[in-house]
Amino acid sequence: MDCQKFLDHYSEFIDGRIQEEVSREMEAHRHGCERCRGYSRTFETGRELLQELPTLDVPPDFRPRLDHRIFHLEDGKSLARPSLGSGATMASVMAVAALLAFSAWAPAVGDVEPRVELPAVVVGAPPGASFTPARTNPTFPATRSLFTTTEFQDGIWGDSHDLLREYSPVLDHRRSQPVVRVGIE
Amino acid sequence: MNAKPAIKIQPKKAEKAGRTARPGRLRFKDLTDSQVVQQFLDGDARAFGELVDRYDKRLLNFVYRTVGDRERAQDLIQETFVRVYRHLHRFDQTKKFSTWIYTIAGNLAKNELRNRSRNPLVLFQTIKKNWEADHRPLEWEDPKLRPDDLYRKRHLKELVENSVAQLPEHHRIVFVLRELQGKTYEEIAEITGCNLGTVKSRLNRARNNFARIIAPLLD
Repeated sequence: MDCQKFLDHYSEFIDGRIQEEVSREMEAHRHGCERCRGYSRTFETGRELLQELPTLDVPPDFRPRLDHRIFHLEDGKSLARPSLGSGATMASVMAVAALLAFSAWAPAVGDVEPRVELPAVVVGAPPGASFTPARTNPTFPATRSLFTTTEFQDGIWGDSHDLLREYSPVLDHRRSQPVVRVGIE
Repeated sequence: MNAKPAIKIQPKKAEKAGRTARPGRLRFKDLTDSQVVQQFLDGDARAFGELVDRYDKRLLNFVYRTVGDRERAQDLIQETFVRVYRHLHRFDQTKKFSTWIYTIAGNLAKNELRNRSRNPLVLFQTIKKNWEADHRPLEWEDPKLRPDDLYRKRHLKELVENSVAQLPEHHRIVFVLRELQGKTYEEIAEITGCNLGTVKSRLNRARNNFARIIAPLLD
């Protein structure tokens, strides 16, 4: 038995897990070797001190905290447990949501766009009077109080605006084409 | 599968105060762990409280010596009991309950150490421990010892405690299980998920390291 072998088997030696013969050899080596005796003494002293260390106590709030956690564990389980009522509710909610999503997205996804024929909006003469475009410069009354509705309308539809109206491509387009509005019916 | 009942764990205050425990709890005292587990699975909610009673302190000290942080150890033991509660119906009753619960606690402790090594931080606990050592009122721990001997012994205990913390993680768990929890080699092998040869080797190395660390302190 040498020191290295003593160290290799020391743990099993002190736990009594080696054969009787090897144990006797270990004991004999320890008796004769100052170095290994010192090692053994150091370990035993350290072990004694280790076992004298105060042990921790469970704090007073440990049980209430654990109790609380387990209560919520049970609570969560009961909420998660499938039942007919909650299942039916969930299914109906999902169905309504799917329906709404489908109706919202169907026009965008599908090929058919709803086309609604509406009568053309044509800007014509001012209501009430037959319209004759004035070729002269509009005249404005001196004071606002003397400015009648008819004069105002004539003034608005003076020849500068008339030109705009006559050559407006938008107006021509609107006259010839029915207005098509695209959207949800 | 047995349905698990909702429980209400009763604190040990009554026992600590010297009062008699309730008769319902007394009948568990003579039962083995397996029998208590069976009682719980049969629907007796108080059986879980008995399991907590039997293991809370032991597990707390095991995890505390492994992770070195008291508050974190308490959290991990809470988590251990919650996992036991959730999975007790899956426990193989041909095996030892103590080994199973130590395995859960040990795995949580290992995860904690792994996470800590990834995100190192200075624990307030280590600062607090030193603060406590300096500010603790002087008291006569053992009237037979002289004050200087008392001081030396207290100092040595702290050094020994730190020596355990210095051991590498996989050595420390085996060392604590053997030296402080008194587990057999076979139990340690099962708890740590190692074979017996690995346990022997790790324990020998851990003891060797421990002796090497404390040797200069004891001179």
